[in-house]
Amino acid sequence: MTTSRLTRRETLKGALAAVAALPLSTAFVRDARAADANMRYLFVLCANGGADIRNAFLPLSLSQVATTIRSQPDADIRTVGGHRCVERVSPKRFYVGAGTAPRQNGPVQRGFLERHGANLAVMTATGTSVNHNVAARRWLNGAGMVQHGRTLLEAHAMRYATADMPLAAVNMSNGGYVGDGDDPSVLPYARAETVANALLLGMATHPSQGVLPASRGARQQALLARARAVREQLDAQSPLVQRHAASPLLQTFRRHRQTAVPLMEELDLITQLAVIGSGNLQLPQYGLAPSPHLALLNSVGFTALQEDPFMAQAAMAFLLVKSGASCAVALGAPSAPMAGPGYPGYSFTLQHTPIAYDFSHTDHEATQLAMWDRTLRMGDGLIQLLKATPDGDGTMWDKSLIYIATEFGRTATKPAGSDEFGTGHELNNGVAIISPLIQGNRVFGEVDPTTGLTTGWNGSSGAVSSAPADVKGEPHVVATISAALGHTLSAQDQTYVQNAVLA
Amino acid sequence: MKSALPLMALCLMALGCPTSTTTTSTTSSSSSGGVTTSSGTEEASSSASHEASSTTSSSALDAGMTIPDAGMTIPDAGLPQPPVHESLRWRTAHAFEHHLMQALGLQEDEVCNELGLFKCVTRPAAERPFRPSGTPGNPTVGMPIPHQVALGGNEPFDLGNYEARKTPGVTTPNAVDRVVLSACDARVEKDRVGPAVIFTGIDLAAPSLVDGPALRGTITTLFRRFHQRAASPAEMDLVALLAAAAGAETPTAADVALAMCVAVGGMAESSFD
Repeated sequence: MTTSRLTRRETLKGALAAVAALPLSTAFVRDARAADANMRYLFVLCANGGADIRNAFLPLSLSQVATTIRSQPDADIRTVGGHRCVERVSPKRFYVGAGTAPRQNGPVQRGFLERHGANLAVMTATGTSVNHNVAARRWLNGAGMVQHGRTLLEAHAMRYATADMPLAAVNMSNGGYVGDGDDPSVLPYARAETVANALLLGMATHPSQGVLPASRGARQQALLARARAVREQLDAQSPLVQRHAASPLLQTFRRHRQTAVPLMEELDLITQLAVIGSGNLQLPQYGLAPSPHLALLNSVGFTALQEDPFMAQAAMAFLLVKSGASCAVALGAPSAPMAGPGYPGYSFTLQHTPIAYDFSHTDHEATQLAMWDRTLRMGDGLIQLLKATPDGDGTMWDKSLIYIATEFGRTATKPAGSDEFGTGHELNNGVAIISPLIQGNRVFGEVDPTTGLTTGWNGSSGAVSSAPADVKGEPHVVATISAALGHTLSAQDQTYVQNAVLA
Repeated sequence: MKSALPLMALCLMALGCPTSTTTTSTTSSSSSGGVTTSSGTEEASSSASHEASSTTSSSALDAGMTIPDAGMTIPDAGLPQPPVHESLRWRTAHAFEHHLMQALGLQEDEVCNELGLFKCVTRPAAERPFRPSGTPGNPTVGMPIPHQVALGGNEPFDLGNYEARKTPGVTTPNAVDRVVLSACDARVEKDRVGPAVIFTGIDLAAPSLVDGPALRGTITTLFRRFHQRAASPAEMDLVALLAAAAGAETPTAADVALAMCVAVGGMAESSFD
């Protein structure tokens, strides 16, 4: 049997490249995509540094617990449908959220629940590592126990990538959330493309447009296209290429150049993803046009794309799926802090804490409030964008799932009576999943007020359980998400699926 | 176009192919690895699947083996290939940037700056080892090094990315092309002003360039500087084609110089050694 190194997908991409030469090819591609009723979109919203579920959707009331257990003032806890959340009204030391009044945490969590609580499921779970990088990786690949240790992004891309999808999986997060999973058989197209700066991703989707000033670039584009064609022929004759024809490195590079690059041009991603253009960033000077979706992004509050890298990631996550380039995207709270103007008595406000959630080592409550606000604002905007985008008989949101992943929780106890304290890493925690594809408006598990730790729960009924076997971990969360998204699971994988969560 | 027709047919077929994404109800006699999921779907698979030995199946899209509707097979496609000794080294970010600096006689900050602002491959010297934090009212905007990661670099400070990617990504070829184009443009512009370093034998102000010893001498220079070897006659002929008119448009000498530099400098030999 002759061995072919062309996968079917790559053959299709080759076919698409041939079709791309036809005048109607763009419409052809878009029509094909629009007809894809079974598509699913995965967004992993990485809460870097340890987002504690007890500071958002599983708060303990102060009146319920001992003074050494972390809790929230009773007056700060809100109930919305089947969920609870924190709406902090007492001032915090350095964080001033963009709430309704100075020095107050805004009603971000409540607003999120009011808009999306019906699609929110909270699952208590306990991880297996308190090392940032190790834990992050495990919450994305089920600790290696589901789908051969593929990351959710890889598994999703393997399942849903289409022949006309150049960037099937994109990872804009950082730390342990970035990187390949454990399964060596994942094909190159399904490996997540690491993106360091979402704002500038568009620039990497075209080989030449926007490199030169507009005054010269347009004139030279045709010649540059010829140069690239000549380059391809030179490569075919190159002694190095011929000598190392079997090199996986070289093959991967050349395949991407021959298949993905034309697709990215076909989708005009350099325009679709161009969310910069204010201040000293002048796109027209380089022959580029701003994204036609800027007004839509602004309408959900994504107005600081150049100043806020987290917001830029959220906007880019939407644009990547809307443009048909991707089906699985991860974004994550950056490590760099973000400061804002100060209120009276404050020289500045820290809206995004250094090292994200991990600044809880220094000040737990303020950090968690600030970062949950940040995370949920990005999730909220993303969901609103997806809901505003028609897709078949519904919207893109109908086919989407957002998984708020984090490495671990934080220490459940605190110095007696203290309101300002630091916390360490704690295996015990919980995750949030938002999607119409699951049982929303549900909390699976609870927090034991005597310990401050989350409990287990029965995977079939959803009932709270104290049985050690009912404590959920990384594989349960990942397998359940995979099942909700229609990934094909082995019998072994299925044992981790929590059917109570599935719609 | 004639040879493209079967591919087009395959493409048309595949975009509506049940095993891609439009539906998952198709089965085939070889779908031994298919498992019913909780959502009730069953994916077509085959004994040729790269996961056939396990209980987990994969979509046909994964493996690209038998396409039931088409009744055709791409033999072994998608199967994990036997381990191949990697005989090449990827010339990643820092090395790639220095390769271009050396080949084109440029300083580091001349190689590539996206939108005239963002150094493309490595941190500007003023921001090493890491970028200063933002100031009140003037926060940081993440890591503005557009192509570092795509070119195989890594960013431990801002990204917490402690290991570089091991293989080129989807945007890697574009990153290579953009950086090469930018660097070549910088060299052509510098040579136009003079003193010329690479394009010494041609008049960059000329309205066109004819194929002749001067042009071919420049091609030789480009091959030697980029790839440390002479161009073969066939390679020479290919690159010289860029001086020819395309339609009614005759490229200027400077445009030809840029195109030749991009063609030679963008070869895979620049990215691997």
